[in-house]
Amino acid sequence: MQFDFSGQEPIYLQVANQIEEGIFTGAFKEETQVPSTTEMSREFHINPATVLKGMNILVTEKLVEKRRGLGMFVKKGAYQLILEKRQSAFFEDYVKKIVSEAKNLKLSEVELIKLIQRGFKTNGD
Amino acid sequence: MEIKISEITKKFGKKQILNGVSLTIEPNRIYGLLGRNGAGKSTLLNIITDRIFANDGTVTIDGVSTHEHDELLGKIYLMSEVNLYQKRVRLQELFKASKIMYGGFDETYAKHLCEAFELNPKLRFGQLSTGYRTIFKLIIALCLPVDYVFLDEPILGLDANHRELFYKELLDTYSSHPRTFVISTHMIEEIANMIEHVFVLENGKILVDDDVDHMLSQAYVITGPGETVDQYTEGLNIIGTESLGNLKGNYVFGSLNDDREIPDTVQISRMDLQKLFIHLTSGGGTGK
Amino acid sequence: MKTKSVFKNKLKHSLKGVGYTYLLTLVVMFVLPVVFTFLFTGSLKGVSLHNLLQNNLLPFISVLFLFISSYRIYGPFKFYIQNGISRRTVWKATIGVVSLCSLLMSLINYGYYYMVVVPNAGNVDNTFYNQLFGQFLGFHSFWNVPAQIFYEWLLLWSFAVIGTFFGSLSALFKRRTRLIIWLTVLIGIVVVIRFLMQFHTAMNLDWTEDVIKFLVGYTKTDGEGLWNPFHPIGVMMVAIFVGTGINYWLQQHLILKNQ
Repeated sequence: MQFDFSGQEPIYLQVANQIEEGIFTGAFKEETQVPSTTEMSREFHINPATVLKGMNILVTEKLVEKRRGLGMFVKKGAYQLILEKRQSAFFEDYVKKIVSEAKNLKLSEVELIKLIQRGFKTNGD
Repeated sequence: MEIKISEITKKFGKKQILNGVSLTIEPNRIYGLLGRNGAGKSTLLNIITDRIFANDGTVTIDGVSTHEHDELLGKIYLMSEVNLYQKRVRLQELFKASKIMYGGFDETYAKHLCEAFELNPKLRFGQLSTGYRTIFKLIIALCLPVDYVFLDEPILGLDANHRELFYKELLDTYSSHPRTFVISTHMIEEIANMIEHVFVLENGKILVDDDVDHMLSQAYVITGPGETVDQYTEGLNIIGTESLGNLKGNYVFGSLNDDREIPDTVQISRMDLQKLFIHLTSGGGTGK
Repeated sequence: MKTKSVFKNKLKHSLKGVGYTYLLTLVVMFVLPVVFTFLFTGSLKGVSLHNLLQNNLLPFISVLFLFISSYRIYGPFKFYIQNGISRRTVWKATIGVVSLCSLLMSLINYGYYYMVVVPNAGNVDNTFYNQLFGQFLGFHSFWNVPAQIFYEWLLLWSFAVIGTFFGSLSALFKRRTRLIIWLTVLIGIVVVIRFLMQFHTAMNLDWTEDVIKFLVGYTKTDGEGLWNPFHPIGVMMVAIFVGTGINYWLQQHLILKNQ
């Protein structure tokens, strides 16, 4: 797994996002263990408290759970939760941007829809 | 069990090095002590450990002055840039002596570290290169049973591999055996994510005393056409500015005024700790 | 607690130093004369063990060793200070180490003198102590033994205290300041001596003579070895006590320098 930290977001949020991404892509399967706070702290030179803060976000979102004496595990149904969350954020995160850029480029609504249809046909290539 | 430093003042001759420095160092946290060359970092650390004396002010642990106090001084270790070990003494002898002085020393861990850094404890201190002297002192710092470890320029002369190894070991021992580390260094980028709290020393005064998260959450770069950027950032605490033709970037430290409309052509992004430090200490703007 | 650790650590180093010093002294006393004789005469004819065994450099070397090793206080000081030891603790441990080492050296010197030197020199017993104070307690009195050992112990200890004094004093200053101070002191001494030489006849210096006589235990009685050893012993005890106090004060002001 390769974490990629940038300066644009607080580190604890990046930790949470990266693990979420790991769960979503299947790198961390449901019911399996995610790397421990110490491991992540060591590998990426992040303060353990910061890692823990990121972990706690995932706990609150019910994506991971702490198992006593064993560590953090991906909860059953975590993938589905992420999927739903991302679907509902899709409009804010992507559609708005596409529409705004389309307007800058003076593309009409019909033209944009056509382009999207083309994207689906060619499978995104 | 916290170290309280209050109103420390230090002059060398007529030169004022520290001017009313006050700060609190809590147990089990990792701090960064940042400042440009000559800002007074080493002087402050030397005063905390009673190696030199302040002209004014106090250093206390739980209200008791650390000055000439064996028990309290025994809870603190300062690894410093200066080489104070006698050159002809073997490293393992120095380990032993440190153990006697501090009443304990994690020999198993020291052995592990010597192997990891490929340091032969049978060598004499004088035979070591700058990098390996640093490594040797780091090993002592990590193996002593103290509550407060101060590291003054802990990566002096270390190559990239050794720095990487040191950061790993530091976080490892910190996780398994929490204690306070105060790291004073120029390599801000490398430790930026390791430290929880930061003290910025500038011209003998504490400029910033804040959690890194909180500090960075108030640091912005506003970029766009020069006039628009200036208009938007007017009245804000601008700590630095960069321009490329008419494209301008203003570095702001402090909250943005939420009432202001953000112009379409203006982009707001964040700064990392190193950038923020550079702009804070380059003379422009104030820390407040 | 810490005092004990520092004491042990310091003692270990000092004992090593004592050992090396005696070893080196023996080399100087025995090997060098042989080598030189051979070099200059081409043979070993002039060398006799009997003659060599009459040499006694030990007290002189002891004084030198204690003075120099005490003078070099700053190296160990730096080490202890950076290991979280207070100045007071280092000072306390030093008292113990210095007193023990000077006692040890006094005993060794005494033993060597009476077991090696005196028998080989035809039972001539002419130590400094004996010449001045030897008769005071009675010529064959048993008390001469402890008195002489005690006397040399205090003498050696005094030199260690003086060495520590100069060592602490010079550690207080930067190299340049130190140089200036030493030069000033030297010039001052020369000037004072010059002044005394020119004007001493015109001044009444009887009182200094009386003071010195009291300090060394001079008695009006004529004859050798009748001075009172308890005067210098008392004086040295006071000097050690006061000197150690002054050293405490000096060392309280010592800091770590980057040089």
